[in-house]
Amino acid sequence: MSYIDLVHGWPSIAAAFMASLVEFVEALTIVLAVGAARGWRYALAGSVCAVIALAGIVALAGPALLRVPLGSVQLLIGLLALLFGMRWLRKAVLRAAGVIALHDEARAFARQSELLARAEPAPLGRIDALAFATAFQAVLLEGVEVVFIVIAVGAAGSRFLLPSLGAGAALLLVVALGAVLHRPLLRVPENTLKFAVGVLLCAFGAFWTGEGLGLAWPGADWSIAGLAIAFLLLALACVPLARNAAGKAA
Amino acid sequence: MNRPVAILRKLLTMFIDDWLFALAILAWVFAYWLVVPSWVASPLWQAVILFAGLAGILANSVLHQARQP
Repeated sequence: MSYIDLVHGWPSIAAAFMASLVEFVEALTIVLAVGAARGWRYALAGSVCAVIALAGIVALAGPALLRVPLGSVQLLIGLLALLFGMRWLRKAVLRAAGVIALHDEARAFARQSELLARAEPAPLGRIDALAFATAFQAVLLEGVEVVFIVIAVGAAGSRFLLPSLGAGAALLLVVALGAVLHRPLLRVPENTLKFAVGVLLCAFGAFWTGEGLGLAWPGADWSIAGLAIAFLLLALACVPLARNAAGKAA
Repeated sequence: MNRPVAILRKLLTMFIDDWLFALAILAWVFAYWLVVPSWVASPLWQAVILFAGLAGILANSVLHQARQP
C-alpha cells in the first residue's frame, strides 16, 4: 500500500474508524455489564465465539461478494449504505436538536447489569447460558454492523483493506481502554461520531448507488468529498429547523 | 428460539426501522433510474438530481419526526 493510497483512502479509514468506535463502545458496555453481573468467564466466552462467528461470516460473504458483477455489488451496497446512513443521520440530527434523548452508556450499563443480576443464577458447574448468549448477541450484532460499514465504504471490490485498518484500530483502542478501565467509555462523543459517520455513509451510499446505476460522477472519487460536504451542510441546517418544529409542536 | 429471531430482527432494523422512510429512499432511487438517465444528459445534473431527492427525503423526514408530539 503506497503513501498515495493512504492519502486517497483516508475518508474510508476515518469513516470505518469512527463508525466502528461507536459500535465497539456499545458492545463493550454490554460485555462489561455481563461480566460485572454474571462473571467474566461466559462474558468473554460469548464475545470470543461471536468474533469467531463474524470471521466465518466474512470468510463466506467476502469471496461470494467478489463473484457478483461489480455494478450489482455497488448498487446493492450503495442502497444498503443509504438506508443505514440516512437512518443514522436522521437520528443524529434529531438528537443534536434535542428532539430525542442522547444515547447514555452509563444508563445502558446500569439497566443491563440490573436485568442480568436479577435473572436466576446458573446452576453450579453448568454453563451460564444467559451470560454467554447476551455477550454473544451484543458482539455479533455490533460486529455485523462494523463488517457492513467496512464493505460499504470499500465497495469498489479491492478497497476493503483501508476501512479494515480503521475498524481494526477502533477495536484495539476499545479493547485496550475496556481492559484498563473496566467500565463503560462514557466520554466518547457518541452523537458527534454518529453525525459524522451518518454523513460519510450517506455520501458513500449515494456514490455507490450512482455508480451502480451507471452515473459517471463528475470528478470521479472526489465527488464522495463533495457529497459528504453537501450532506453535512444539509444535516447542520436541519438541526435548528427540527428544534423549531419540535418547539412549535410542543 | 427467541434469541435467533431477536438477532434477525435487530439485523433488519440496522437498515429499516421506519418503513415509510426506507420506501421513500428506494422509490426515489427507482424513479431516478427510470427517468433521469434518459432525460438528463449532463452527469453533473444527474448527480445533483440524485442528491436533491435524497436531501429532500431526509429533511422532510427529520421535520416530520420533530413535529411528532
